[in-house]
Amino acid sequence: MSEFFSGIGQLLGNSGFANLQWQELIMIILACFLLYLGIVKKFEPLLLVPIAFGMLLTNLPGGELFHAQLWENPLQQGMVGYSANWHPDYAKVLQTGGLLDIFYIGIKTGIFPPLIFMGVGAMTDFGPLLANPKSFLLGAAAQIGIFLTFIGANLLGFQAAEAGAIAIIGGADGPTAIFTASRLAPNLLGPIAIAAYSYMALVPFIQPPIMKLFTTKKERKIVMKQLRFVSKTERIIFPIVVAILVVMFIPASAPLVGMLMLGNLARESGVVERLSKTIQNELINIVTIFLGLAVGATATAANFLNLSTLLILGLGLLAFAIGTSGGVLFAKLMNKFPGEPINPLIGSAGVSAVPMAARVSQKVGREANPNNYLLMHAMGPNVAGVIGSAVAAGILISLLG
Amino acid sequence: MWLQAIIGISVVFLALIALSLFIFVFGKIMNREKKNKKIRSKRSKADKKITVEVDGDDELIAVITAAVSAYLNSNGLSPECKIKVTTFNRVTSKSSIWNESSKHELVESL
Repeated sequence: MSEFFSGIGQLLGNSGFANLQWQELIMIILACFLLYLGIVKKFEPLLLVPIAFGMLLTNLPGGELFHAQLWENPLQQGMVGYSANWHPDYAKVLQTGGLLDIFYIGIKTGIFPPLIFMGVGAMTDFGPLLANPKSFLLGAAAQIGIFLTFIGANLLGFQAAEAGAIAIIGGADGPTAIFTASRLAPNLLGPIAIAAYSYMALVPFIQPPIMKLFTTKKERKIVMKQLRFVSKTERIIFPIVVAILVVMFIPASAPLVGMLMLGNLARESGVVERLSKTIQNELINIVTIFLGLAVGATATAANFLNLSTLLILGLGLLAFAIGTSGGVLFAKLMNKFPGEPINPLIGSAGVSAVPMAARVSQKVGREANPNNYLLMHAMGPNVAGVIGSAVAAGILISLLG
Repeated sequence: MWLQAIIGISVVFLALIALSLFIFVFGKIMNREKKNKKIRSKRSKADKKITVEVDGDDELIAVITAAVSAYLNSNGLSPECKIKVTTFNRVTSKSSIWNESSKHELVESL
């Protein structure tokens, strides 16, 4: 009988309940809150649900699904024997790693985000951008949020690489943020991904006040000329040219831009319909599950419950706000030059967040003038923003990596 | 840090300006070719003057005529507005997703 009780006692002693630390408890509650936001509030549920669940699993004591120590350089900067070129021991990861460690290989080696980008490319119609190439400038202007936030993060005491990873939240692009963070500051991946996706979901609340602040009612009423027709040839040549030019210009952006354009070519060429369908449905869905779980797994109590997470959330919001105002103000600047008038509201769509940011432009535009349809015009800067933030990510990686 | 930020934003601008210039020039070339073609095809059409007759199917035409006039009436257009349906085509969805979704949002918002 005593053996029975000691057996039960041993089991209880090994159970998660006995080993639960208060930090882990907080993380479990946070994960459940994120699940609530994803499921009930519909905050980017496709990503937030797997991320939050990964976060939940990684913080359940005893589950041993993710081992942060396998992925971190045991020596810190300044210690004897420290090398910036440290690499995780993949053989050890495969032998001793848990399920989420194995999924995390896909992020650490930079496979998942480009695959997601391929899906994004296959789902994106670059037509509005081709019809109005000036949109590219708005897509570039909105990236100013990234670089100003980079300065802000530096001033707050983050190291340069960490500051770059945090600043990329302003690109409003989940896969780009994850890719950059995994390259520059893997220890901050969890908070950065969560901030990026939460703010993308909050775009309809963050952007309108800023857009209204910087524009007059008269400007918001501007009706834009209808976009021209874009031929199939243009649509096919576009991804090829962008891939060549951008990758030659900024080689570090090759994984993201290359895959984005391959996906788009599959869509527009019309000869590989099966591939295009797989890329924009099954492939992106499967990768999203692994990516979300692995990103969530990095949000361990030790990595998440500290001041830098709060700072990251604050800086991310700042990056979004600056990006939005950058786009709007640049559109106003463009109106000072001769040419077709631009409604400054479409500038805010330059922070990717496709297609939410473009919808916001449309909505705010209709509040000022119910007969104004800005959606198509805003899609131009919106998709230019995707390219712009991938370019910015490439620059940050090559400058700071 | 400041230098890195300034380099960063400048390179983003340079890259995207280069792309936009390329697309602008390319679009102009493509459009010129298309316009020439259009003019040519218009001429050839005018020369031939083909008329397509809608054969049979009076009932379908009557239904479509009735539907269109009912729609016009319900939208407050003059009931005297006289229309005659001579031809009808099935519309294939050639327009882009964004176009479709903007149409969809427009219809929903009415």
